[in-house]
Amino acid sequence: MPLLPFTFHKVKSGKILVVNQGGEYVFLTRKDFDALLNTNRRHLPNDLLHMLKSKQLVYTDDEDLSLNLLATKLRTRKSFLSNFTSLHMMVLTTRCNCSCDYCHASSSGTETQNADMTLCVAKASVDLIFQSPSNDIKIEFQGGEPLLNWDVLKQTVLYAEELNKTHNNRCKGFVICTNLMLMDDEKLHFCKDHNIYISTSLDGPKCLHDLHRKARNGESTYNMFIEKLYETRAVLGEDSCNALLTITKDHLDDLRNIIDEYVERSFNNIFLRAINPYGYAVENENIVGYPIEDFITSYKDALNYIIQLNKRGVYFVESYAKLLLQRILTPFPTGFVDLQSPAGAGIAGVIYDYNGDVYPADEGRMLARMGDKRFFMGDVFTNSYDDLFNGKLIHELIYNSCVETLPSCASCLYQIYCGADPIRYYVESGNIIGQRSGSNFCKKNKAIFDYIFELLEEADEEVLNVFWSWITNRKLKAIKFENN
Amino acid sequence: MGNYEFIENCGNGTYLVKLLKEYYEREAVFAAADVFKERYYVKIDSFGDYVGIFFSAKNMQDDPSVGLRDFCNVVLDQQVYRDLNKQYGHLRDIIYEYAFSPISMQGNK
Repeated sequence: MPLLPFTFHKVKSGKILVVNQGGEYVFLTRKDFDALLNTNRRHLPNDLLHMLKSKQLVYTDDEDLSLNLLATKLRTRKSFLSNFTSLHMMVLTTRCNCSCDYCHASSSGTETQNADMTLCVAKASVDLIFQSPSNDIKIEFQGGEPLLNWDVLKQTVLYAEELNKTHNNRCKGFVICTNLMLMDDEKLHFCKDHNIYISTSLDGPKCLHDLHRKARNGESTYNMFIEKLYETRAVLGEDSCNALLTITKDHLDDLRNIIDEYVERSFNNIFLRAINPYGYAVENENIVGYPIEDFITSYKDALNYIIQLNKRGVYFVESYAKLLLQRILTPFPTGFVDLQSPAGAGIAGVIYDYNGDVYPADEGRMLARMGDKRFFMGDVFTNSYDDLFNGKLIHELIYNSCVETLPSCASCLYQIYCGADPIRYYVESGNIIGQRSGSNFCKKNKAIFDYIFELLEEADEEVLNVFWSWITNRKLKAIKFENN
Repeated sequence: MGNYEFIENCGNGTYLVKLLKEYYEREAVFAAADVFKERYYVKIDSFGDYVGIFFSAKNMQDDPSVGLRDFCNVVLDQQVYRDLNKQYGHLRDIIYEYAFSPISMQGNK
């Protein structure tokens, strides 16, 4: 009974976690693992042998069938690649009415001149967007605060809708990333008429939200945010708004309160992400930054708290855990720009700056603002689609961001579930391959994978039900009903 | 630190792990050393039948006794991983080739 390819690692409990090319995993006792490695695998119990066979860790008589099954799973996992660039972000302005001290976009004041995208740049960007082969194009308007350039936003949506008619309706929707402060009835009804979703920011209860998210005049933004949030939902619907949290040093010990605030404000998910080392977050690192180990401790506590909430009947998802669980428990693709192999920069998402410059990711644009144009792909006027998306930079990023071939990632247990972030590596270490095993990116992801697998190994029925409810977007009650 | 036969204290905070080349390949030693280079300065040298890996803790308060024993286990895992790869590495290549081949070609495999 020959072996099929797998990686392995001893976990906290002393068992050996074995993961194969298709993402199937199994926990083995040391004795069983030793028996698996032994050329005579007949010492393995029959039921275990069947399980190992069903998960394509060993095969009996039909090598082709096992290889085909593994290849199909791998192909499915990587199918996000065939979609190519679907997320197209447009920076409509660098101006912002808020002055958040962690702003990764290093936004400028509302009176700043020459900081808005013109309609001419916007249309040229949309022309390029529709050259993408993706059948699931999403256009995301970012800033600064994109509502400060409302006329161009509106015209861009109308222009994209016009092009959509002759491009097989491949553009599936629009998103505005906004702090909502400038949202009004006219804008909301336009959003409603044109199927536009809202992505906003909430940093927790008033005291925490106002700590780093202040208006330009230094005043609180919380009350107005809540007022606008409810107005938005009243017009666009309860599920029209998602919020992002930025975790600074001040939020780390208060994640439970922040989660309560999200639940209180009727959000059904939260994305617990560590602060990124870009823009003002770098300048203000002593105010907002923290060691990644502190984030990991807080993350685990918050995840446990969220699981408990779900057990009590509150459907509430931690989005990063959900993403990783989808990768661990299902073979389905979960394209996520920041954790893909090859990296999603340019081939999953791309960003068009206000002046027409194109970057593979927002972080590349931020570096350019800080004076380093290492990730400049070209611009919407002088470069063709082929120049931009089949150019040297994109090839270089793809070539150097396949975890299957990167030092230390190549033999990592979590390789099949993980990804690379070459721009992040460049920021942290000066080159796009980076020092991954010691990087914050790797420490964070490994620790979260370790913890999720710890929970999977414990196999508490209720916790597993919570995880399945997240993956299948159903309430826990529905999962329990199905199991009975 | 304890007196482990396979970990030598070279003085000045430097420790040496010697591994028989007969059992450990260069790739396994490099892969394991890579994991430890965040905590230690690492130098790899050859001593006849042995490969020697010198470790010097970046943080002088760091007690290398635990870390270097972990290194021995990590390098062992890396070697087992490579030994297994010799058995089925060609299968991994087939899986990737098949997974990324055009669908129209798949029936021909």
